[in-house]
Amino acid sequence: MASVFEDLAALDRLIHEPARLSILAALSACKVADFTFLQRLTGLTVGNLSSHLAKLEEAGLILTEKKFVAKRPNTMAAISPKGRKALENHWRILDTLRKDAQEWKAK
Amino acid sequence: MQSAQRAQFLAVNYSRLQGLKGFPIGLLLLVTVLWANTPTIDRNWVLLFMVAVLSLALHIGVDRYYASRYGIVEGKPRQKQMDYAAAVLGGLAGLVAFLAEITYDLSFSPVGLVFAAAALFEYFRIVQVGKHAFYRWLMLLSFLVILAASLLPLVGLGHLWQSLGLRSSLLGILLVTSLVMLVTSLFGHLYFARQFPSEES
Repeated sequence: MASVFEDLAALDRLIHEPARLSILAALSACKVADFTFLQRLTGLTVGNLSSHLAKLEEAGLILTEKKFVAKRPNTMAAISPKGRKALENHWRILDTLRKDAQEWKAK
Repeated sequence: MQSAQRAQFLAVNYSRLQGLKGFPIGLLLLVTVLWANTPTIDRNWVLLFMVAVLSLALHIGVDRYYASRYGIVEGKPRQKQMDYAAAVLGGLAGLVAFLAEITYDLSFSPVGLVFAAAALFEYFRIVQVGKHAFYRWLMLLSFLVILAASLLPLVGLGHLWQSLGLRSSLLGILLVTSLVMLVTSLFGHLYFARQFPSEES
């Protein structure tokens, strides 16, 4: 029973936040995506998404590049190797949590 | 978790889900079929050329629409390689099917079977995770419609195309395929658009 709570405590809250988890999940599945796609994907406002991206970049989980596309500024984002590892670790913890919770329920 | 799964699905299948990209191709195919169905002496080459240019312009417009409205996603190199390989294989299969269709007097349409296989392939590739089952059933229906059209001679209905005013069964198959492409492109876009949440106010 204690292991379920240990698993919960091990979750990285920076990654576990739903919007940031969606962002990292999407970026892990592609080479690079732009701000517009991430905004449509998460449904966040420009300000909210910028804030989440800044946090992820500060933690070294994503890399961003600002460029001009059709004369308009656009931010391209890609998951970093550190971010990829952190996300994989996060999925592993969630899987373990699920299994532990099922054992707890069975007892 | 479900939103993370959906995010990955959208990122992986992003360009395949953009249904409107099929509309210019379907339109060009439809006009080409109707053009080819007219007697040689009455064929208007200028019209065909203009429709080809319009299709190209539509294609560029659709591309820009998706980029500005939904954003840009660049797939992983391996995924791109697989997409190119699938496109090349599909093209080769289509070419072989076309040559077989015009060379041999078969009781089915090889070209139709290739298009039917493509529709079935898309059904399995795209609609596994996304919300809204209507598009899943539409892709399956597309497969069944094209398959049925391809096998008409087997059930003794090979003359159906001629009775509908078409000069050959190949034109009939391509007509059905073009109409299916036009319909699935519009519904495909609806399916794509509905995968995204509404924006925060």
